[in-house]
Amino acid sequence: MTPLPPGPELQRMGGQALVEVLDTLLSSPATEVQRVSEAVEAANGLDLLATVALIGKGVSGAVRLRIPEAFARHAAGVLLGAGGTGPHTQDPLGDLTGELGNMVAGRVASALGRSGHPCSLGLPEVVRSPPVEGAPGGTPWSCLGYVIRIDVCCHHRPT
Amino acid sequence: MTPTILSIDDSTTIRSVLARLFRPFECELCEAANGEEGLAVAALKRPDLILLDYNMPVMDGIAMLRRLREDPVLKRTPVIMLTAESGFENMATVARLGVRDYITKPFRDEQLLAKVGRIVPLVPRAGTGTSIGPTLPPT
Repeated sequence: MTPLPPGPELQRMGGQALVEVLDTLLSSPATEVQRVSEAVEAANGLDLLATVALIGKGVSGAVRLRIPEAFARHAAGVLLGAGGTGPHTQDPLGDLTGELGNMVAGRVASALGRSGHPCSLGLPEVVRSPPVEGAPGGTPWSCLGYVIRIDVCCHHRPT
Repeated sequence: MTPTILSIDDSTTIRSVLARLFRPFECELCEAANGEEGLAVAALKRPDLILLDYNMPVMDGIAMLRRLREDPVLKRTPVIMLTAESGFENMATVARLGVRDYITKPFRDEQLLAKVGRIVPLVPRAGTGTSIGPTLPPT
């Protein structure tokens, strides 16, 4: 059985995917952050967390994308113009976050496929939560002054 | 004649992005949130092009495409697949189902417009701007 990429390589795939998605969608660069102060995270209010399952033969995992609500609002403004939200949903920011997670996960799935572990995606699930105190999971990235976290986990499962 | 484009995606964000993208052009844009709705709208509107998401609840893009190809009226409708998943196996499957083109999400506006323009002519509203398409009326 082809070994899965190690943890740091999975996080690198996630970071690369995030950078590409944000560059294409928002024309905004994202840079990896070495250390985030709690004050910065708290100032951003509620977070939206999108989880997208990775489903493959003998392999399963997930991509988790955590973004501040304020960043989601900004992204909606860029993508949808003034007014910033679609007309047909009760939770436009949740929908946008789910779609961002979907796009990032799609690129991670493609990278896993190239490493011998093709995966398909589950449907995104989105929840809201206060910023996680202490050391939340995932690699922090900075985009437009906001802290975004991406976490990729993947493991062999019994067949 | 004004072309009709049907966008089928469970994400309201994507459907809103597409609505914004096509608003400057002379075309009718219809929407559906999953494959099942998409088949119903397609039967009603007979679109000139379908922009179809791959991964959706209720009925996903592949299942919808299979049903579309079985419909004697709709089976030749051109389809462009919009997908976050660009793995080889997925692309081989959609190619076998006769998808005209595919585009990976996220996409740049000009990239999608160019692909759409190869299938249906995109004429700017009020005669301003640049037409996109294989056979273009004078602007």
